[in-house]
Amino acid sequence: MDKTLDKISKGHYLKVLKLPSGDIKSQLIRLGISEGDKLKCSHKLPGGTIVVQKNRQEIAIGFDLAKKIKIHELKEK
Amino acid sequence: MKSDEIKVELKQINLETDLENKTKKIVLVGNPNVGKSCIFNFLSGMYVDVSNFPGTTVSITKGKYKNYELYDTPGIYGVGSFNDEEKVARDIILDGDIIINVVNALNLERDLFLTLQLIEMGKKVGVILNFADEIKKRKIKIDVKKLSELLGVEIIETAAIDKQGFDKIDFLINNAKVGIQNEEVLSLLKKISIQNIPQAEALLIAEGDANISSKFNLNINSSTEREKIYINRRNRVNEFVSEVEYEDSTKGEIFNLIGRISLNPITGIPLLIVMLTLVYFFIGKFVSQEIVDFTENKIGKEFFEYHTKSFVSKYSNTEILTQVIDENENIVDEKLFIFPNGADADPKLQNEFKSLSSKKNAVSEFTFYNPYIKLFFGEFGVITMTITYLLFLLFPLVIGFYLVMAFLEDSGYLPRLATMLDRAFNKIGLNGRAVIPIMLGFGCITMANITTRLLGTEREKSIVTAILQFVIPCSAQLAVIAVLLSGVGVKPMLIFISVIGSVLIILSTVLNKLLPGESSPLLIDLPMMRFPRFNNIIKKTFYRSWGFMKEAGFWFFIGALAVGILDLTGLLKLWQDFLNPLTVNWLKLPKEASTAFVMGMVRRDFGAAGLFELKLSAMQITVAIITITLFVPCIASFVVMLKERGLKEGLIIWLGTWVTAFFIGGLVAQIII
Ligand SMILES: Nc1nc2c(ncn2[C@@H]2O[C@H](COP(=O)(O)OP(=O)(O)O)[C@@H](O)[C@H]2O)c(=O)[nH]1
Ligand SMILES: [Mg+2]
Repeated sequence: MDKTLDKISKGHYLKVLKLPSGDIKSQLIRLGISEGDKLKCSHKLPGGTIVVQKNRQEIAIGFDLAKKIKIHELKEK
Repeated sequence: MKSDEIKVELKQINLETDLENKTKKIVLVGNPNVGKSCIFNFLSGMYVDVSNFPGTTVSITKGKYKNYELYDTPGIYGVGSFNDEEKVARDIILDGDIIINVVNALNLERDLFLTLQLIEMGKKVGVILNFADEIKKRKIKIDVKKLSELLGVEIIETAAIDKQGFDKIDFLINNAKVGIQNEEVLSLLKKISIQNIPQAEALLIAEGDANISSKFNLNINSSTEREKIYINRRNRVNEFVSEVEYEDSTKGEIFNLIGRISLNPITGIPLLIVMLTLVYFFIGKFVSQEIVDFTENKIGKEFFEYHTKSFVSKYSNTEILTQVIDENENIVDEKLFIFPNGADADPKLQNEFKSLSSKKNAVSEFTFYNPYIKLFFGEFGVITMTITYLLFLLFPLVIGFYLVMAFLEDSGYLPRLATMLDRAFNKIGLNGRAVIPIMLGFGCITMANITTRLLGTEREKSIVTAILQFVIPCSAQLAVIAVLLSGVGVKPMLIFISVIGSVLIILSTVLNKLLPGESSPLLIDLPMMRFPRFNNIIKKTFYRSWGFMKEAGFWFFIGALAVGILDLTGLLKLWQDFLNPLTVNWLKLPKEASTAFVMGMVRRDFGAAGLFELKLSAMQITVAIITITLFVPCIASFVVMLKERGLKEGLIIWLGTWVTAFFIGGLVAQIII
């Protein structure tokens, strides 16, 4: 199922399809999040702030940014 | 702590003068929280901030190691110009001879991105794979030899926290070399390198760094190359990591209970409340009452000011009113000493003064008649008042606040707090990071004004600066408010909180609408939660408090001087007369209350003490505390704000607080009194 990152629920796995362009994309790539990556949504806070986990690293992503990240939800890891 | 450590001066570097220097420069570079400062401390023997929160090392620190100059840099995820920290780090990296790249072995995928970029810059690099202790604990295996072959540079393993592996650092420095270059990136660079631009600069230009391209008078606007390079680099990093890292443990996820508890609002909010309560008891009760009462009154007033003023009174026209007070605040003895030619001219009276004023519970009030003496040593004297205020009131409070911050920071709690509160801050055009300056504001607005630097955009800095000056009461002011509110029931407090809360919401909503541009979204790396190391917290608190006093102390003196001059020239009095009708008719307060507003410009708790004696009704108290909270910041935060945010913005905010304080205060007065 394709959707934006803000729609994911806690504990689910996802694959990043498209990041928003511009500086923020570069920042995401630096932090280790790039298109094609598999991540886990480890927390979803009320209001929509998302915490994703990649290996041992956790990154918090604000709601407005999450809305701009296109993902594909994965059934299993 | 050894006393000689305290004397070490941390020098901010000045790139221009250092360029001429011939000694080789070693630059420690790495992502935030990888242990750079730990390593720097060890090598240089100097102390720098060691913390567990991204974005706390704001400036570069320079030290010495053997024959090298050693630089510690703020944590960055890549070399570029996305924010101020990056720009500072970039310039020193470009200037450096040997780059020691510190890598967190637990986060190879994130950290190696920077490593590859440094190698592509053509710099001599050596890699420190830190956190070896954690790797062992988590049963992760990294094939260091293979990684070293893939990168083409030497790698050593360390556990900086236990100083393990540091004996190999010399080997690393001596064997730093240019790593293996990527063909694709090199070919992209060829176009630029033709024009005699060094490889490092060429790479940054290709990545769209406007500052560097303008340095070479190039007009490169496209960042399309950047995306190409970044994706290429990211793919290589992922490839390398999959080749060199093996996990023995079946569970690759971090099990981090407190981390989870603090993020999940159901448990996170109660945790926040517990934490704030503890902070309140520690700072609100213990530090600001017990400790400050002792330092300000006993050391500051009774010792320092008394002796300084007595000394000055020897040589200058002085009147001293000495009162001896018993436990029940009754005056048991009192005498006015008049020394028209200074106390030394009248030894007999002087002795009498000495014996009376040295009695237990004796209070002496000095009135100087020479205007200059008054300016420096009088009630609001530049020397007497500022020193008492700075050293004996503010310093203990600042230490208390930094101690709490250090604890929260090192435990890894702060970024989680920022994450939890992010959505609430979004509503007012900020992201969760803003929680840090705002929290500090309850300690000292001046301190918080400096911390706004860590925010992502100018727009966010403006909003937070305004919120700090308008609505956040600092600890000195909170103390006054607490005293005024005690014994008048809960209604005034509820009105106070709702009025200030409304102003906060209106102010930030308006600013969010008015200010151009967009605020940056939250994008923050959450470090592991861990129990902070005690001596690290103590050291950090000490150095930060000291750093704050050095940065702000001078401005407190300037502020006091400015007000002193206003006082001497009679301008202060004029201003007070102007405020009188406003105070009486519009705020419905006794005219003496206007002193609180005039003196509040100097120190937010000043003059407010005068309100205690005024026999105000509960509703008048409500109006008074609303007005003094909204009122202008103290003179030191005003000056620091001008420095941080510029003259225009600073003045607009400052004047805005005058208007808002009187407008809202009066409005409330008209309704409730
Ligand atoms: N367990 C462990 N912790 C470390 C190690 N090196 C640094 N730390 C901790 O990591 C945090 C960040 O260290 P710091 O030197 O401030 O990193 P910097 O941001 O790169 O300057 C501090 O809390 C250190 O105590 C290490 O090798 N092992
Ligand atoms: Mg550091």
